[in-house]
Amino acid sequence: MEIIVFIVFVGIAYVVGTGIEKKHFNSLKEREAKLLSLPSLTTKGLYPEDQIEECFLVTGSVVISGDYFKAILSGLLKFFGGRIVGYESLIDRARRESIIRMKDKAKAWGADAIVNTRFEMSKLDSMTNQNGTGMFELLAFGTAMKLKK
Amino acid sequence: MITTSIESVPGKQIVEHYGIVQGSTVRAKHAGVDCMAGCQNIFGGELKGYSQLLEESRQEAVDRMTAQAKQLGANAVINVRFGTSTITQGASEILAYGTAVQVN
Amino acid sequence: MTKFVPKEIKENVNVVKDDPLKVFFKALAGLIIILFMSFVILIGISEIAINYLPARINHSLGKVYQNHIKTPDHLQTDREGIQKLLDAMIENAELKHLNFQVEIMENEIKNAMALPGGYILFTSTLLAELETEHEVAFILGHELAHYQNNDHLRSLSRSVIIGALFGAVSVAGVGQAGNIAASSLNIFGMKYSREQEQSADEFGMEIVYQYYQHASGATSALERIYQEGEVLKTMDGFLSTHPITSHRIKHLANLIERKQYPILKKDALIPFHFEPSKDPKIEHNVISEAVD
Repeated sequence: MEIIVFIVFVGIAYVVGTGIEKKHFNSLKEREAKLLSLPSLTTKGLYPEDQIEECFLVTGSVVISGDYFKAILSGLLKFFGGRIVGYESLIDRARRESIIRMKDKAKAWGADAIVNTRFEMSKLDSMTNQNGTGMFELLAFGTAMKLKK
Repeated sequence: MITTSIESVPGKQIVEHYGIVQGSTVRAKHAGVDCMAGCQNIFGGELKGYSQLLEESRQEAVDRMTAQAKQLGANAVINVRFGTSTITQGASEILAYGTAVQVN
Repeated sequence: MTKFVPKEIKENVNVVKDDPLKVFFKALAGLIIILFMSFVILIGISEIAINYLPARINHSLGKVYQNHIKTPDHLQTDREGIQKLLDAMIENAELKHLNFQVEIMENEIKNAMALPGGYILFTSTLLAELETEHEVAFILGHELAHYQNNDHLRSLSRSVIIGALFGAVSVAGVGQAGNIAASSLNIFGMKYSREQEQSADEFGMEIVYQYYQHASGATSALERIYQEGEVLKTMDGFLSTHPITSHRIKHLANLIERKQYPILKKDALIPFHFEPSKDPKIEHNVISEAVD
């Protein structure tokens, strides 16, 4: 009996979760294309200091969680080792989302480039809960610059 | 593909830059290694299984980052940084990110 | 200042193109196969080990029940009658030497059990249902078969192995999917249990044939037990410890036909008369006279 409940839950989670993920990836592609003109870099040396007019710290963050299907899948794959398929796509899209949010803020401020960007990630729910789906916060921060014309 | 963690490639001139490139991977070691690591936790010292796991993951993350840079037509990645975090117990994510540039 | 060339990253290198559903099924199948193979290997080892275990273990297991089973006084004569039949059958068949002891219990459920240590337990309601001596003999034979095959130890080792594999999967940190996979081992365990019951049926029938030189009573005993209310018809006995009674009856009937064991006519059968009354002045039932 529990097996049937389990299968139903996993099925629903899979269908809904994959739908949400696909939509998110499409939306990411669109928004990234729009923000392509605003570069974000990890260096600062490519823009010499005499060219910089103004500076501003921008951050973009997102909190994301996996669905039940990803949790079950990761449990199974952990047993055998190797790549955890579900969470790779999850973290990747979260990171891209946080970059887009950071770029949005920078663009609203009127920046020409974002330099010295760094990423931080942290796990928000407890590590000891093995059956959980996992909540992650991804942060991207950098210095937005206005260049002298 | 040249990768550096400093602002430039020494001895070369940066011609163009293409923005951030990032490579990430989530990996786990199999259940046997988890058991061994649990035992080694009692005695202390290096957990060889996990060291190997993170080493492989880091290599794969860097490979993915350079693959993304290649797509943009870059031939070097400068100012590379790394990030590590745990996804679930026994599975961890490695991120490698840098700026893709073209040098001559 | 270096020139910025905006370019779109077309292919996402950070995500593999594997369909997660396929990966899921492959991983689940792999886990179940590993569990099943370890189960089979461990069961094989335990079967070999059990054959070498001394009979002392059965006795020490039996000590648990010693003080709890006592036939009420008014049923003692029936008990002695059945005990005599049992001893005669054992003598005839040259079976393992344990101190077999018949006990009768007053209970609404029709059941007969073989407990470790040589106890064969009948419930009064079951004895009331049985009509011929041959049917009692078949049930005694079925229970004797469980002793002969070390079925108690095998069931015990099976539950221990399944529990250990369950625990191993939990410790390995697989999560919910691991619990489901380990529960599927129960299905295999049930299959082994059903095979045990089936071979006990066959053995019981052989003992009856050896004693009476005919096989009457085997199928009719089964018919009497489960006539009212078969519990698990819906799942076709998938998850039950005993095979479905109709299958058991059919299997025995086929065996009787193949081995061409004779079946007596109805009036040639020796009746067995059991009165589960509370009156201590109970009359001798027919069985003790028949054996003498």
